[in-house]
Amino acid sequence: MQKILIVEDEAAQRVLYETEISEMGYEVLLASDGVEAVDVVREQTPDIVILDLMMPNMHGLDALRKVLSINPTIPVIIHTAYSHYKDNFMSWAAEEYIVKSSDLTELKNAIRRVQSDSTVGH
Amino acid sequence: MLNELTHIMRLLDRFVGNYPIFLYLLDDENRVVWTNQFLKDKVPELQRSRRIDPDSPWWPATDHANEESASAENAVEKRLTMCKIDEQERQIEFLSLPLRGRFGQNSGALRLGVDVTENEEARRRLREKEKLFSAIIRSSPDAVIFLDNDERVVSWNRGANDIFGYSREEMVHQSIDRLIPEDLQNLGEKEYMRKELEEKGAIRKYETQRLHKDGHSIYVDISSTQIVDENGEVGGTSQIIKNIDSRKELEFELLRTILELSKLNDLNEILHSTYEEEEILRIILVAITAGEGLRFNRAFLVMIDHETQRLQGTIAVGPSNEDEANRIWSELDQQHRYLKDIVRAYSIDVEGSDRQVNQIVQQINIPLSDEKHVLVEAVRKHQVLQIEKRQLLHSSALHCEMGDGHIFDLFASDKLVIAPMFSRTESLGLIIADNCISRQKVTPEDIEGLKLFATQASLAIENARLYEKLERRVEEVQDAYEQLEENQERLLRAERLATIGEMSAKIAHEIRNPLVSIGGFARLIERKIEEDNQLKQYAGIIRDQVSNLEQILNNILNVANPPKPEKNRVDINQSIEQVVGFLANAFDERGIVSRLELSAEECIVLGDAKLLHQMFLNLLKNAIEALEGQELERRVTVETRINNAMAEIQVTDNGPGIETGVLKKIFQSFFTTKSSGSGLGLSIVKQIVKNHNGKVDVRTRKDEGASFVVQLPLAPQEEAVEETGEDGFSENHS
Repeated sequence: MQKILIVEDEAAQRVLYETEISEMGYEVLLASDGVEAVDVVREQTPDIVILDLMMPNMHGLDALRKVLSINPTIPVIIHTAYSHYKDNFMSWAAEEYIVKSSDLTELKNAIRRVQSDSTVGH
Repeated sequence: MLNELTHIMRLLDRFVGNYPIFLYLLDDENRVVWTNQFLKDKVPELQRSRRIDPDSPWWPATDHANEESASAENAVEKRLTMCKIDEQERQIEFLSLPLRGRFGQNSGALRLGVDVTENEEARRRLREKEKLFSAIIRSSPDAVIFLDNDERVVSWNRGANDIFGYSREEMVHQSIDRLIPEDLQNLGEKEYMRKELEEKGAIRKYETQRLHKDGHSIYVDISSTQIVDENGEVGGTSQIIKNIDSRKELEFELLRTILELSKLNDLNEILHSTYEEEEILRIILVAITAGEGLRFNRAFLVMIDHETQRLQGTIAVGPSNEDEANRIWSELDQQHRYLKDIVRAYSIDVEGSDRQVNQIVQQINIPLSDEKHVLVEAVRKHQVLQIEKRQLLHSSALHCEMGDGHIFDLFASDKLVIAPMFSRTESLGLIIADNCISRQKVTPEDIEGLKLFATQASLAIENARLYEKLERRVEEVQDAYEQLEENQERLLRAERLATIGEMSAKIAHEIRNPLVSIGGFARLIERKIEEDNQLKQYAGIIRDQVSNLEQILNNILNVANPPKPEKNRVDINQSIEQVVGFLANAFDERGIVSRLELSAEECIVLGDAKLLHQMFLNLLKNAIEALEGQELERRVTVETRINNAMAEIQVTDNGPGIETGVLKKIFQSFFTTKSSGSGLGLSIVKQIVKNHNGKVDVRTRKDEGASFVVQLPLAPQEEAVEETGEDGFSENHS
């Protein structure tokens, strides 16, 4: 089973994403900030990372750098309430940039795209 | 007889003894027989019985005198002698009556002496005066002539000779008529003068004209008096005639000067009637050449180009030959009486009648550093110069080279007048004028006139330049002010937008996150609950409301980070039809009558169809909202038209209008007068219009509704687009 790491500081959203995404057939790993996320990536080698940006302790983009320095090929989906980080250089390094919505269709489509890409790649 | 006489005399002496007369009787041997008392008192030495010496002043008896007196029977003899009386030399006039005896023999004389010293003195003075008078008359530079009653010349002095050229011999006994010009004779001048003389006795300084012997007429003034003798008979007239030619000349000179000055004054007025430098230059040239103006044939303007430091010929006026000159001026003179009108009416025809002179003037281009050039000299010295070919070509101090030849070749003229124009602070240029067509002499008055005029012209040019500078300054200040206002507005907007950016980011973050949870879980619940459960419907409501909220947040984010519009050809009319169709229900529900007045021509703009759609939607929503609560018939009109290469879209409602205070703010983000609504609708309109290089404006009046007018640049013709190709096109326009 593929492992997806969800990095999200909001507890409620963590529950929502965990429920929805595990229903898609993934093993869901959770982290509540960037620091935790880096640890999880190092220790549990997830296949996909869903990364919030505005988080305490470590900004998502800093976490992204650290994650990619551990595993340069890991696909990362930025999932944020902000749209303007899209132009940021680090965002460019992410596979997808999804603005948060209560409708998770976009996010789920992005996961499927990333999944099929990496499957093709493998 | 002597004794009898002595006796009578004694008697007489009693009556008249003290009368100041000397009376004495002599006997035939010149012995004093008797003297009167007065003589006795005054000349005691003349005693009775004493014989008078032959050399005595008391009538010395000479033989000659005796013979003479003897020959003339009873003739009274008269003699003047000087006698010493009271120690004074007196002049005594003696009368001597010879006394004859019965047979005619000499028996003595009765003598009477009267002191005529005073009389003689008076006579002598009179004679001297007469001499002086006649000397004065003779030597007078004025003509002094006497006429008899037939107005024939009796006396003609040297002055008359000098003035009229006729000698005394030629004039005496001749009629004075030959001096009077024929026209004055015909006018009856002589009769007038005669009448004046008769009525007033004299004429003083009557100014008229008389003829010189050689036929030219002279200005004279005549003073005339009647000569009346002691019986009151008129014996003739005297005339004193002065030559006042030179005075008249001065008077005419003065008159000419006054005319000249008033002309200059006129020109001055015209010159200062405009602040356009080009117009002033035109006036200068026309005024110099007009017949009523300074009367030069041709005039050229050479201005200083301060950037290049060169004298550059600018413009000129003047005919190329005499026929042309006559034609132009006579036409102008016929149509316009006054100099002012002529100057206003004459336009310089650089391509036509003034072509030749303008070709000449354009060739003048001399560096100011060429200090020996005659034109530069005139500019530097601020001096009016009259230059002549034969002088200047041999001058070592100055030269007049011009291109390959010299100035006289270029102008095809031997004599030129150069008048510099200068202001208080700088040299402006030169006027060059000549009379090469008529070949008329340029007089000192012409030059003086040009000099004065150049001064006035300089002043006018300086004024015009100052005015232009001032105008530019005012414009600059105005522009700067407008720029400032605009900047201020922009700054305020930017500041507001920046705040909005920050705010929206915050709101997005703070609100979107819980919304994601709420909406997300609502969807989850909705999905998990079986079909017929009431709760499934409730979860759906939560989902929809959250979606609405999220949409509002999206709007805010669009303001903060407007997406760059895509550029496609969008048919405005089609887009509006779609939007209006989309809102048809909304119109119906609110009882709004919508009317479309779309342009017959296609209105194609380059833009983002979705954004334009959004803009029209917002405009119409705004109109609908404006009509909320309106009692009267509710109307919304949408018009499109092409205006000045712009597609113009006008959305009009008949709502309450927009208050002035509100008007400035309606395009600001978050501004709203409505209880519901985000206040973003119109600011999005403005943002989208701006992104399409368009303009949006609102026209409104209280209680008369509002009209929003959007102008978008029309797309270029399709053919051009196809030629350029899609790639080139987007390069040009994005």
